[in-house]
Amino acid sequence: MNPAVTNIVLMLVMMQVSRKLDLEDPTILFYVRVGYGACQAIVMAIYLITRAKINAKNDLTTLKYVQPANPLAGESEPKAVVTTVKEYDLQQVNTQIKSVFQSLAMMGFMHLYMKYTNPLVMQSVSSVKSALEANIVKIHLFGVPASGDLKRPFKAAAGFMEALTGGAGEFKTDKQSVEQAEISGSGGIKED
Amino acid sequence: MSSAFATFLSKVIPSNDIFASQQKYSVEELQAMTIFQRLAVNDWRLEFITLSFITVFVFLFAIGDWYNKRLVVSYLESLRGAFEKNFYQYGVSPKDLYIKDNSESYASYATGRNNIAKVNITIKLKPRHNLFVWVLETVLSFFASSVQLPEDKVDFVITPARSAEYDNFIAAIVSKLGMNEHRKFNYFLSLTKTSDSTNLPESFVYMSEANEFQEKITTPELKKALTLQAASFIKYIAVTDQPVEKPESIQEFLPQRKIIFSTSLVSNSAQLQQIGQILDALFSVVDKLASKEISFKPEALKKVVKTRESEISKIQKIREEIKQEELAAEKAKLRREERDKLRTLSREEQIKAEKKAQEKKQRKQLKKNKVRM
Repeated sequence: MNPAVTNIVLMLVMMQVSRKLDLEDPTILFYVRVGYGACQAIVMAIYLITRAKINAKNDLTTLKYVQPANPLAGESEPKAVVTTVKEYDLQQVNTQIKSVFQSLAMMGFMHLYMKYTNPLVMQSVSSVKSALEANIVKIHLFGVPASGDLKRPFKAAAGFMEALTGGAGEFKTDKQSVEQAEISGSGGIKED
Repeated sequence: MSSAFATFLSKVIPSNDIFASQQKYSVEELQAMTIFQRLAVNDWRLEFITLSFITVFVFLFAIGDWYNKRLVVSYLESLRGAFEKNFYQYGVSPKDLYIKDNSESYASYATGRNNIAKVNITIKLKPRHNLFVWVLETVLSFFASSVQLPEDKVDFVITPARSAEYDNFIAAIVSKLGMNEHRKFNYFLSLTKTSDSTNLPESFVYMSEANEFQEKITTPELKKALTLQAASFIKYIAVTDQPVEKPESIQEFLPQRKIIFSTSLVSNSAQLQQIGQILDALFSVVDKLASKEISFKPEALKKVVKTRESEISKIQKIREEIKQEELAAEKAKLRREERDKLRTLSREEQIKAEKKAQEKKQRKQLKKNKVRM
């Protein structure tokens, strides 16, 4: 099933659950907190296991693709990326891990500072779900072959920006555009 | 930072207690005391805490500084064999082996060999002397791509002698670990095509302007020194005539031939031996290039010229655009000034000025027609 659809279903269910729970009750609040913490720990574990598997596989196959220019970052030309499967995968996992920290920080602000408890309930199960649905986890933890939708580089989930740019933000992997972008002299940024 | 420190201190020392000793005694009592008595009754806790923090910081600095220096000295000493075999002088002067720029950057030098003008060795270390920066950079490098993970690295830049003439080209053997970063930080690598080759261990790739260059610079000695595991400490070995940083003027495109060998700082003796072998192989590559033992077909060299020309034309185009913009801005400014002037004139004068402008235009038109005829 489409993950977007299941996400909405899960959200509605969790909304009902959080409505039923008496979040003022300190015991329930304690269990909600423990549940959230446990879910985040599971998510972290999933990613760290995936990371360990990527490192163990050490797949050094060369991977080349053209990254579209990001006008928001002030780039005017598409950039060639030359990497290995291992590094690409590690980068993917690291972005996921970063997003875990990000959501922890957000939740810390919402729950500890603003005293909201509802998001705690909603975020607990859905974070595990999205971790299990991540492309990189599917490939390394469940052994799904990296082809079709899971072919590297992964397609960005169709979103708002995609609709705006009319699909210009897609990775290109055809030989001609890669070779053209590869020798375009885009490197040489000053270090420090 | 300082405010956080202040709040921390205020917890350690209740704020009203800092001058407690003064409050215990009345002004008259304090006036009656000698200076030593007053010093004795004063509360020195804040000063003690500050001093102990400073002492700890200085102590950590000294340890880190000492450790970095030890790393550099032992590294340079272990490469002495490889350099002294080839060069008359190893070290920045006959007496000194290295120069310390600061606690994390050192430099050394070798000179006095046929075909090679000099070898610059630059060593960049982790900021071990500054524990806070070290920890901060290590953590931040995971979250922000603009912060580089601190590491110990060494760059050898071999500059051939003026007499050792050879063709301009770029060819490199690059470790697959972090190769995208290498392309990002080295302009010359981003002008090359990346290709796998059976010539190299699986952990390395070639980046070069044409296949011919990469195959010819991989001499048997160099090939022998490269192993599968070597990719963990060798970053890249590059023969180039283009700069590391992206040129911003046409002068910077002038070929400056050099060989750059970038590695992590290793202390393992087997790895150090490998580095020595590679350096040896690179020195003889320069000899072979200079003696035309390695030479290239004109087709490959034509390709090189073409890339340089297209890069120069890119810069020229940008310059042209900037110039056009400036010109347009100036014109607009002039026009605005004229309009302002007209506005301040009286009606008759305005009509006069308009007539003048018209005449001028007509004269111009006439001139043009004449030329055409």
